[in-house]
Amino acid sequence: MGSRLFTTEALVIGSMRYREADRIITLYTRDRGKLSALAKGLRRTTSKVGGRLEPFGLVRVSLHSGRGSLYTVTGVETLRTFQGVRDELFRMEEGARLLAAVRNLFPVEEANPPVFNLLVRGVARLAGSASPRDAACVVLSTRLKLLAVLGYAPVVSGCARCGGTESLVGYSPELGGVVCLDCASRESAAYFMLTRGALASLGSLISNPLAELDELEVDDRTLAEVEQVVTQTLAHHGH
Amino acid sequence: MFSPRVQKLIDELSKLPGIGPKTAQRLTFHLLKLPPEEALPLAHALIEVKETVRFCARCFNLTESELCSICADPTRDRSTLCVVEEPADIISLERTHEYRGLYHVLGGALSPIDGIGPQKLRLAELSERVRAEGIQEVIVATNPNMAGEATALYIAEELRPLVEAGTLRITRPAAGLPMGADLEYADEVTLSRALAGRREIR
Repeated sequence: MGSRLFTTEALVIGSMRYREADRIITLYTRDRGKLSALAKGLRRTTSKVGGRLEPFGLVRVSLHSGRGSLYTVTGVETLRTFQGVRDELFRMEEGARLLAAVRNLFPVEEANPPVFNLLVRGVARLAGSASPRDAACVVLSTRLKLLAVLGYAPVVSGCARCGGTESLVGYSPELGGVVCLDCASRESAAYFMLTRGALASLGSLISNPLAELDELEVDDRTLAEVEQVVTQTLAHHGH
Repeated sequence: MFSPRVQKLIDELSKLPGIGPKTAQRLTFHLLKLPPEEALPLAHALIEVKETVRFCARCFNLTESELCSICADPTRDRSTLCVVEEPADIISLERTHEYRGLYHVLGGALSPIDGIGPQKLRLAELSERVRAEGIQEVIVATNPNMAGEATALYIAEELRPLVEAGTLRITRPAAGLPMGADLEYADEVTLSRALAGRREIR
């Protein structure tokens, strides 16, 4: 048997009050993927870890595996606070969507370092986002890239059913991609219409690096359509 | 296993926070063993508190009359309003004997992560009160965690027109080191806030 204590880098993706002064923290760790840990006495003013385990924080955390699936936090060191996310309401709201996606999409204790790296880059980029629209683009792009890591990226290069590239008009969460006019009218799978702008933006948000998103020109309607694509795809694959 | 009435008591007790089925069972048997004159005051106290205690019509603190003792107190400073998440926070602040203004209890904090939006809190009532009562300073004393910070930002945004008109000041209690603590053990977030909010020694 190995040691029951281990240390890993982790991003705090959730936090829930527990008992009188404790919290159950959900972490996405580099070494073991998503897991939950009990932070005892965290809400007391004398707690040494209180400020370190706030959502969006990047930490190096020591965890002890006790009974059951719940770990206990035995030590925390802050690596980055990403305070920028918490300084603006719009960043927090967009950030909440990103953390919810991670919480719902990944199984417990399945290490996936690319996901960890992507998540940290996404939160870092969000902390410096200039406007609500920029923040929305960053989070949509990060969520699409997370889907891509799992192999669930929406197919946008051609119709998800026939492969054709002509007159693409909608998106089907069930088929996992865009559909052309012919297939949409024939196919029984549910789909919804997408504008040309949303189709183009969807492709860019999947393939452009996070650092280059500020060059993307989108309006609110396009963002709303892409949001629908991402939400429904996540709902289709979420656990 | 137990008679239906005993089982009912166990079930009710285990709904309480921090009480599991085992503890509920132990409490139930303890209550069963007590003579009536020792067990029944608990039941009476519970009925009384549920029948008489309600929310203050103005600040949503707990009270047994229309207004809570703080709102009804004519010596309190009516130009200052301290916003807190829960009635229990008022007790903590009152213990300092430093604050003489009024309160407003939100009933929680905004939490985008948990899907708690503005309409679930008494934020509209806050806006209305600040305007109607001619409040000059709002102290946002929500908890210094993400939900509390989100709430503070939201309130600042809602009341911005009054601040810009020069009729209102919005403040937030300083975040810093707990008295009696060692600097060595302070976390980075608290310490950087403490540095940002440092003040001159006179």
